[in-house]
Amino acid sequence: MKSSPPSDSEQLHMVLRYELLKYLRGQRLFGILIITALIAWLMLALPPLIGMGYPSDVRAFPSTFLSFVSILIVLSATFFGSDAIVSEFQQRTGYALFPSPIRRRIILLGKYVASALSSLLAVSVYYAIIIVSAQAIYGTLLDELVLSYYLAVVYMLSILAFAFLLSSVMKGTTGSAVLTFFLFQMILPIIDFVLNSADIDPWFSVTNAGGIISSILTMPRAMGGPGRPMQPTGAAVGIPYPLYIPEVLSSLIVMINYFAITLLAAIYVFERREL
Amino acid sequence: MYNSFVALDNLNLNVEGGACLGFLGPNGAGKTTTIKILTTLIKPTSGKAYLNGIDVTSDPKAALSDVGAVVETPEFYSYLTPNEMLSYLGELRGMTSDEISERRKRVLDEVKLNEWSDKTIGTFSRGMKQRLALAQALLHDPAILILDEPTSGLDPRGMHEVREIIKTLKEKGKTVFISSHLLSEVQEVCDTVALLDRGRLIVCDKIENLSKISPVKKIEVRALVAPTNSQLNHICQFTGVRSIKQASSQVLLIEFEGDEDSMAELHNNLLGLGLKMTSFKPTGTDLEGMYLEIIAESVR
Repeated sequence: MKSSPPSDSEQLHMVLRYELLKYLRGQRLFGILIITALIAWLMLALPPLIGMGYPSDVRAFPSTFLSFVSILIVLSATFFGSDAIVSEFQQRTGYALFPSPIRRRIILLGKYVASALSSLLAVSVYYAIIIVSAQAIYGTLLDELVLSYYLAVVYMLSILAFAFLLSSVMKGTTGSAVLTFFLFQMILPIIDFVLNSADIDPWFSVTNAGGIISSILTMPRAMGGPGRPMQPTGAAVGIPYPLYIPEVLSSLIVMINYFAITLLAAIYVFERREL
Repeated sequence: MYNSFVALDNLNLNVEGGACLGFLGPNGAGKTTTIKILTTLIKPTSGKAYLNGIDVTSDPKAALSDVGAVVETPEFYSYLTPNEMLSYLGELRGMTSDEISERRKRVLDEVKLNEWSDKTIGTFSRGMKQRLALAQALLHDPAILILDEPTSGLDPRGMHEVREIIKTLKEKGKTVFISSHLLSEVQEVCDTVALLDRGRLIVCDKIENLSKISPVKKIEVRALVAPTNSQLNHICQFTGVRSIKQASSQVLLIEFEGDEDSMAELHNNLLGLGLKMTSFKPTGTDLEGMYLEIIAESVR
């Protein structure tokens, strides 16, 4: 029986389907949706429960929600991206898959698209909850919220690509998951914080760029124009140092660069990694 | 080459279509490295490897399209069933859904996993995974099979079944490349043997030619009554007898050099001595003698 292998795009679709099946059967997709719902429920239910009520400013309400989007994205990258490649090596499943007539870059891209779709679902559900709630409570929809959603999607793609790079390099699934979570949730934010306090603009940091997702609502000056630094001053937000606020365009450029460079690097490493 | 360690040194090996080649060598000889290069799991620092005339490093997709491989004992996605796993691998190879369901049933039947076809692989034992590994290698009925220790982890019945499958493949004219530590297994199923040591190809020839390299055979003789010292002295002087060892009071191990006729003569001589023999049989394989002889020479 001599059948020729399908095209790269058809194979990518096959890898994508079976990867999604993995997320479904492994309860990962269900898990991230539960976490999404839980965060949203806490944000919506807690204020009235403790008698605080919702903020009177229509911008303040979604802004509180948006501060948790980056955590959701990092969790998605940990759930879906951190073990995508390394598991093929550590769990030896690559011995069955790699001798098949499929390019390794297609395996990686198929897995990447599956993880991006799953993460997109979680982020979209979260934004849908924000939008529906804002509409119900304030009867209005902010344009910035839609822009924030698009920025969150780009940020998610860049963080996932970075997670895939870590997964291509790391030796174990646990190490990869722990590093992915702490890198984006702790290490890079600490670096941003230290650079800020040293009056250095961390414009090149992907987590700093990701700050635009929430700052777009509270700090409209982030919407554009030159003169990025020192707005607002640290004193204005109770921090005794200047705070550099990312702008939409520069943040987008940084995030797209992180996405492209780390995804290409992940492919480069994965194609050369020996089993 | 791994850092400065040369895993394969100028290996030049050509396997003819339809041949069944046994790939032998001690641990660390480079057998698995060769198989991993052929299946694109690793890339050589220099040199080329071809499957069906296609370079595996420059066009792995085309090179692997008509190849089935079992490398080490692979693991499978624990959340899938054998049916789903085989569908996935079959789809990647471009098989239609009809072909997949027909072949899937057949190969799972061949490796005796049909009762487990809808159970998740996560619950499988090592032996069952090895059977599934063989099933996925056979799924697309490839022209070339690369099998790295195909009976590893199997019980004796499983080993026998796998050997029978390989024999059938050989009869069908498939090209089979088997790496194994089990010399008896290689002798039983292969017609050609390549011997590798420290990354170098020592010899590659038909088994019947290689058997002549070591004319020394070991013969186990069992007697009803323990042989006397005088009988033992006589045996030592028979033509072709190199040495004699008493494994137990009634079992002798004779190292013997000679052809089939000489062996028949030795048998008659032993009877002539009045030894009440209950059995007279060569032990080990022809291949074993050759293997030990060549490896010892290679070390010198």
